[in-house]
Amino acid sequence: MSVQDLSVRFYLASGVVNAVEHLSFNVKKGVGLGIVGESGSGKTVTALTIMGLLPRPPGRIDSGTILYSGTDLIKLSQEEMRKLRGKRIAMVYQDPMTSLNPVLRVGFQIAETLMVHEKIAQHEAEARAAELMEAMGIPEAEKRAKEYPHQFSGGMRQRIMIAMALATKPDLLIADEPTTALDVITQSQILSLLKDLQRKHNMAVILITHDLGIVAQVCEEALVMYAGHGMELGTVQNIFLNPKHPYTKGLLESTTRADKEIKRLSSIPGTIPDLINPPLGCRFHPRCPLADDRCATQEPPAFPEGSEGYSKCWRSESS
Amino acid sequence: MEVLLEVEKLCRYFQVKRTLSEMTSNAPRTVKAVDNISFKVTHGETFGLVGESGCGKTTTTKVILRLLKPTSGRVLFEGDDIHGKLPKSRLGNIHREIQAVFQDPAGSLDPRMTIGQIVREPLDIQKTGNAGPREGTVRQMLGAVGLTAEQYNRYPHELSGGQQQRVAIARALALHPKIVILDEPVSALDMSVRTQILNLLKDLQSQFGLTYLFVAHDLSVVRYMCDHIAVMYLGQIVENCPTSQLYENPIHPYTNALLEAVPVPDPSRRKGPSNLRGSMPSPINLPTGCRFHTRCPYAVAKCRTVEPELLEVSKGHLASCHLADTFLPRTPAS
Repeated sequence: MSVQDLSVRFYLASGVVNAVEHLSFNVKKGVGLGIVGESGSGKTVTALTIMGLLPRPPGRIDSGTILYSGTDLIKLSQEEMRKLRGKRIAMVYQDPMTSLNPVLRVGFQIAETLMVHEKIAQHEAEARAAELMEAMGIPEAEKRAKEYPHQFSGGMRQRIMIAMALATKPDLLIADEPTTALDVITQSQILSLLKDLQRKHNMAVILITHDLGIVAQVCEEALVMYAGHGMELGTVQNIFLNPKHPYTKGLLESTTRADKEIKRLSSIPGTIPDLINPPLGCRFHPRCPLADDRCATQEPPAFPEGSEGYSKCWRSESS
Repeated sequence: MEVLLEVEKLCRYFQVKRTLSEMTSNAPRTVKAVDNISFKVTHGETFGLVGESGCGKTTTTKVILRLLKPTSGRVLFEGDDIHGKLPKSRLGNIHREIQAVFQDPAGSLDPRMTIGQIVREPLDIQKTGNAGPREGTVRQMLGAVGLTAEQYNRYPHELSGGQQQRVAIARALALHPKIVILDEPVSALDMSVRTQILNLLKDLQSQFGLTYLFVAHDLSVVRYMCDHIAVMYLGQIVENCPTSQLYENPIHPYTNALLEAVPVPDPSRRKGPSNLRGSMPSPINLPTGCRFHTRCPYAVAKCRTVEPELLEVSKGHLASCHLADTFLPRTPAS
């Protein structure tokens, strides 16, 4: 999948929210891309747009293409998108409790995906659902498939969500903050499950998170977003060990770590900008320690960094 | 060093609602949210209480804030049992000297009060000084937490999450408390704002000589902030030691599992999945023996039957594990 020059805006009574602007990135088969950013950085809007779930209105796609094996997803009709969604592109959401139907048995909910997309009989689909639950590490899967969502713990519910997403063997899985609602030990188990499945099915995975640690632990590539812009894209080695963009550097320097004793962290001053009236020039310039006059007036383009990455910073122009 | 706050064999149980069938089958009727915990917070330090959701850390803070009564055990503040019989004036002092900042800043600020009124309210309730000085204290506090004078007349919804948390901190400090209970003070904040607030808390601590009880689930934040850490699991403390000890020589297998599970922002140091089995047992049906034995990769027969005590395994390092000796760092052969 290739996302090029994507801009998404929300037209509200209070003004136009520039949720995503001129965003470009590629997702390759078998590769995990981490999209990391703070609230309002546009990461979830990007995911919803790819899934064709952007609420329109008030949302509108003002520019760009989302090419998926040759077709532009933006140009597809609702009906065509529905056939793709859940079958070739699947999504796992943050809160497994609200994404599951409380009055249906979990086995049936997983089977439903198969019945819709693969048109197989219910008993066959439910047998496959139990197998999937087993593969997701749920003990006594056959028995538990007959239980309801409230009978499962948070981690187990998230495994069910993943089973549901993977039922049709999608090429691309989008996981939006899949472990934010979970405790740290459960989080580590769910993340390694996702990683194993990515390798086993040679699937592309987009992992959306606000936790830099998660991206470093499970992704191959990372996209750092800020105020609707892709600030830096690169391999996790480049992003974490040799970051180019001042925002990426600032984030890494201000991150508390369990593996190191730190006396004093440097913090990024200021607050996240208002997306209705974003700063001119580089979106980060009011908080950037290296900003000069040009940063305040001209928006930097994406300068290539590494083999396929980029950094949207004037400082990367010469390199 | 002088002990400011001492929690002594504290228990807090809750009654659970039971269905008729559960009553007839004699199912347990209590949740042991906090079960026999003891720790001491010395003057001027930051003491961390960490654990996963449901381990009892918030219940502990509620008992310390006198929002809940203990089932048994005591909380001593400067030697006085805060739940015991105390003169009214002393109780007023205690209320002034123990303040708190909570996780959700929007939820803990009254939306119909201005920032100035919010920070001033504790001063009015405690009748500290006259109107003039009170006003001065409010402005001084807002300045100390990095808010501007023009924000005095704003309402909470006009501020960002980080600024709201600054207001909550200013309110907590307005009465010049001795100890501030910080219950997950940064978990609702964005990454770039989080460090600002943590650094602010550190600065205020040295400026006002504060003691903190820092409650959190995030082991990286706790490492940055705390001098001493107690790790809780299912209502009990499983390990309690100075911060450097906890991260360099963790003894309890649960502490180890927690540390192993924290994602580190370094792709050259990738970790495998957690070696723990299953998930946290229900606090209503607690496992026998060591509460952690159902998930512990090292559990032996004794762990299933005998409950371990929290004992000093090396100087200043407490752990409750039958196998603690085997997890001690080996002293190099001389």
